[in-house]
Amino acid sequence: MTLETFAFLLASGLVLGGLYALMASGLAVVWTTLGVFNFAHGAMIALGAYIAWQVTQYTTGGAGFLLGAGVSVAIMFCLGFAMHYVLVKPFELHANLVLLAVITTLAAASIMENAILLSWGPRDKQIAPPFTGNIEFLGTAIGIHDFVILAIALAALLALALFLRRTTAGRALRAVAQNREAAELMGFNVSRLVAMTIGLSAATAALAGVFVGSLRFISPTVGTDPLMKSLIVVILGGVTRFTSPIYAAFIVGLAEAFSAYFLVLYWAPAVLFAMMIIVLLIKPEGLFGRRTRTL
Amino acid sequence: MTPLLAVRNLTKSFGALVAVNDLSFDVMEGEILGIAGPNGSSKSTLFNLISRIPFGADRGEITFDGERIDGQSDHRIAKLGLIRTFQREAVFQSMSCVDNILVAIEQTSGARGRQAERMADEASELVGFPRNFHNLPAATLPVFYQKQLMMTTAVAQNPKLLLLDEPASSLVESEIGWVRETVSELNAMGMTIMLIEHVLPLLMSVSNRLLVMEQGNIIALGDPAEVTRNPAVVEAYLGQPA
Amino acid sequence: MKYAPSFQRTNGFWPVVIALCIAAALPFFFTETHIRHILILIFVYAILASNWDLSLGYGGIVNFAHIAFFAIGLYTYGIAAKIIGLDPWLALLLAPVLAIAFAALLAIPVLRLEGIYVILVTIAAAQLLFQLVVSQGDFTGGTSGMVLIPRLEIVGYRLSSDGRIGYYYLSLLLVVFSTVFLYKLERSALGRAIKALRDNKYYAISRGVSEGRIRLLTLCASAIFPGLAGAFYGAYLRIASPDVFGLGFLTITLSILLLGGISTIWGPLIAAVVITAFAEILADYGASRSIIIAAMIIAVVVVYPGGLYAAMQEIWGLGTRLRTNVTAAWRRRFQASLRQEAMGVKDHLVETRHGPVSVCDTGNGDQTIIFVHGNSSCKEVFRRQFDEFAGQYRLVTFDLPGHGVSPNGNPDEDYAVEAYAEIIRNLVDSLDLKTPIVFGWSLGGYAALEYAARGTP
Repeated sequence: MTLETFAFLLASGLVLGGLYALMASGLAVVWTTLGVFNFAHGAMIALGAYIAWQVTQYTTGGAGFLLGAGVSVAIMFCLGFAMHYVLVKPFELHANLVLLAVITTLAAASIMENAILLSWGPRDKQIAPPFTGNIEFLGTAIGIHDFVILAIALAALLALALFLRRTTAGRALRAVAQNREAAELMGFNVSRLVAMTIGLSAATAALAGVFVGSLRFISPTVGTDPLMKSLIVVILGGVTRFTSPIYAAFIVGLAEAFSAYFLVLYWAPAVLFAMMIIVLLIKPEGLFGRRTRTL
Repeated sequence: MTPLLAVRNLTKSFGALVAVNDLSFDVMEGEILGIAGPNGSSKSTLFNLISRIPFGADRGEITFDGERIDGQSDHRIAKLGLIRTFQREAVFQSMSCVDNILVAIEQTSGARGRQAERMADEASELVGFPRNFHNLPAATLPVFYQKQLMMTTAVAQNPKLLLLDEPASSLVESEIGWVRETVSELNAMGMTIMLIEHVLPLLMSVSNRLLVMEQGNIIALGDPAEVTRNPAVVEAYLGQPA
Repeated sequence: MKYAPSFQRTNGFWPVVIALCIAAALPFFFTETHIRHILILIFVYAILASNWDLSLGYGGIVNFAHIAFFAIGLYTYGIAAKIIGLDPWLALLLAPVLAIAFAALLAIPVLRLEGIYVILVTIAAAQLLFQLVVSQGDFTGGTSGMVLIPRLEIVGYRLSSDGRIGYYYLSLLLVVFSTVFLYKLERSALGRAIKALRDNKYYAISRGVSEGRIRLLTLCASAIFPGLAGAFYGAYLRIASPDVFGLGFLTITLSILLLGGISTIWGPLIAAVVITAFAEILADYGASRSIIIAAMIIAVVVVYPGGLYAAMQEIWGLGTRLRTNVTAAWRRRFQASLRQEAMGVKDHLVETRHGPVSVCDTGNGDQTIIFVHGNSSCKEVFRRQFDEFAGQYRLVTFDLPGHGVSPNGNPDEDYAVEAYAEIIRNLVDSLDLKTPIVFGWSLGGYAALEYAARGTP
């Protein structure tokens, strides 16, 4: 392998890792707070991409891209906030919460995907990447756009981490994740906090969707693959700390980039799922995790 | 005479906390061994370690009826005839009372159908669990009857050694009378019993020997009347004399 | 003593017989292959969902690789019958064997994990299988799937002939066998152990239930009929596509199970009919159809987490209450003379704290005797006493709520000895009975004792 190939694979692995980190941390935040796996996360990524695409139809260029991302993130936050009251709240004290939430989030995913199909049709779309041009990186040309994506993704993750650790609302969220009853007794409005968590998760999904939409073509089912990848990342990393899925995301991103080069293309996903099962068997709390739930 | 249960150097730690510290004692066939101690003295943990439900010991040997059981799997120990109850009333809440008893019988005796039902009737009779409750869902029973049902499922398995974890907790005086009678009756039938209890008069009246624990250690073991006069025991219960 | 009537003597017997007769007769009313296809789909979904209930509902194992059993059945049949060239019927029987083998493999990680991790590891296992199927294009046809899989024939008669009638009855037969299997299993020693382990794991282990063995058996047992159904599906449609691994198929089956109600054998069967038929009615609406169905699923889960079966039982109960109330009202209105003949006096309704009760009040004398009847009886049982004592005493008797011709009471409040005592008290006040003698028979005796115990004179 030449240095150029290596640099190319490294760069694309890092960009993938940034994307996966964004997707997986959104998924992990909901999981830690509610103990619920959100199957609509993939559809939220798709919906976020389509909303941004719609905005970029009116305003183009870098401003349009950023505006699209902003609008998409804002709308998806509100949608996520509302979703809690429809999909989780009505039975949050029911013994079968985990199972019921699985079916409502699956149904929500179906609603979103089909709503996309109705509103935008089945044809593939792409969000025009606003930053063209390349830069030299270890002897190979890498698109500036990729770097911008990686930078924004990392910035968003940092912002989320700071929010969770440094602000009152963020600390309240972490309190709910650790001990819901205690948080309730302390007088927190747990419902609103949980709704906010889902809102934040939806917002990160939207951002990831915008990036996916500018790197690949988007279709109503564009979220399925990211959902599975986030699942793998969350399992590999564990959810005990906010940072655990992020490390795992970069490992998966790099592994995917390199294995696609070394292995037959079809085998790469199978290897990832096999890895996931092995990790679950040996260390179910994840590679970087301990056996407690915190944000 | 060889003991029915021989415990040697049993130890269990949770992190830095040594919950059970190098415990050794014997349980003789046919006796009732009472176990007392303040809250948090690891009495229930001792039962957990012996039955391996939900966890076993870090170190130590346990021999039951001539067979080493410290390496055996949890359900296998139950099948050998070492049966425990739990401090909190436990039932299979989605099932009828008689199904609760039948599960226990079918798992240990291999009896099925009418024969198993007859054994369930006998066990109910022995414990005094009303047979006309048999077809009620177990979850709808009041606490006392849930405790009775748990005892019935244990007795239905015809245990060699019965570990009773606070059968009298949260019961009123007349119901504690039932515990006393049942324990004595089962013992008279030849069942060996280990009994954890906070209700001291009950413990004193049925136990052949009394074992007192404090912070994972045995501080006294012997004749109940003598043990209660032991200054270490008094101190454990009442604190340092002023 | 165990009250376990044989199936012929339970309330469910006649509905099941009628449903079976209807299912057996349906092909004669619907000769179009399209409608028969829908019916066959209903049967396939019913098998998948009700067997899933065995692991997910009764066993408490949230196995998201359940659909993979079906997929294994499908591909086993396809590969064995088409590529290896095995006799199609043998291939059909081979399918559940491989499904069970996969279930046994699946049990290894499932046994070591709890809660949401079981969901995740089973999703991963199903995805791994999907990736394997897609990557082995030589055998499985890859992403485009297999076509022209051999069909089933009985001595040269194609099951697809005569508007697929053979496949229709084969799938109906599968549903019947699967349901009998589940029904028997749930009532067997194994079924009890499965439920015990779900209800209270450590208590079950302390009674000798082997967690590993029972979980393994649960998963394997739940794989048999989905495996068969998968093979059947392959023989019927003659194609095998990796779409069966998709989230869509899983969502529909899971919603059939959850809407039907978990831990009920009949719920998923009913829901399979309702949801598949509903989806068919909306067939022309394309993407909106999926939205409507998904919204409906959310609505049912939110409003009724217990599922359709629980809702049906509740509606059934409501219906029974309505029917008995109407009967009581009708009898009050039109059969008054009959009762008057028996008791020698006309009854009338008296309002009490626990609703109106029908009262007979007759005889002369300073001393009153109140007669209270027993469970499932009525005031007219005292007609001989009324004949005998009418000269010496004032005689009062009444129908307890929900008995005789009194209207039904509120089940939470009015059917209790305390409530009956209060009714007696209300009657004493409103009819001015002073210090009555209260005569109670059976349940009425408890009510009389309660009345006396309250110290009311």
